[in-house]
Amino acid sequence: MTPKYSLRNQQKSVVFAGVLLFSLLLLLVQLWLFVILLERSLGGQDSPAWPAGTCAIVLLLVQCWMLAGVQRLMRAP
Amino acid sequence: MNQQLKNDFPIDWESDHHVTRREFFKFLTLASAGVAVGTVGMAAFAQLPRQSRQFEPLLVADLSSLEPGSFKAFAYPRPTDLCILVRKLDGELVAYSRRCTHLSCPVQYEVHETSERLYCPCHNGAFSVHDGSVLQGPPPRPIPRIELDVRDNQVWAVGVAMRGHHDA
Repeated sequence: MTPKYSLRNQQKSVVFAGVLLFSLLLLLVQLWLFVILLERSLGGQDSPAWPAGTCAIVLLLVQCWMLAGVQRLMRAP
Repeated sequence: MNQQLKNDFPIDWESDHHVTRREFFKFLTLASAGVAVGTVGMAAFAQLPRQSRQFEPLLVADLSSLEPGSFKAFAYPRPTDLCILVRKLDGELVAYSRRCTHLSCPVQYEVHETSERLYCPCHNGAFSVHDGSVLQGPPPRPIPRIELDVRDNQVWAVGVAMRGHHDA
């Protein structure tokens, strides 16, 4: 293992950890949106329904994009 | 015997239970998909027309027995569904579920001179007696309203208003 290769692996590891933490954060935001929507819906307020649904889909797409990016990153030499 | 078993079934439990970061990331994405589907489903559910649920009518009280500023507890539609019938200071009749929307403590009717409210003593929550909306405290949503009908000087509970449908 050359020093250069090792450094590259360390960089990948740090990037992976950062993306993983960000992914966790996005999941928490999605859960928060779901709970807020549930409470509002039970309370008879439907105004945040579709914006919350759209946000959840957008966050899912970001998650998928990050997963694909991480897999590309780990495959790269 | 034990060694023979290990030779016959060479399973490395540590590696079998090991979850890589990539697998965990995939799990997070899957969880995200599940939450997104749930959120969109809830958004679609919220768009459904709101209709009150009708149940078997229940005689709650004689109108003459309720003075303005008084209340009566009853159960509707099931014996375990605690409710409260209130005759407001202006004489109007309203009824609500007695379960606080925070942690289901029973709410009570309170009158202070000219103001009135439904008060939950557990966590200092309060609801408007006019429309059931939250006035203060931790309750996250309005208290469900019971639909009433007055027939021949008798007050009947006839249904439960659904999700913000507060027209009695």
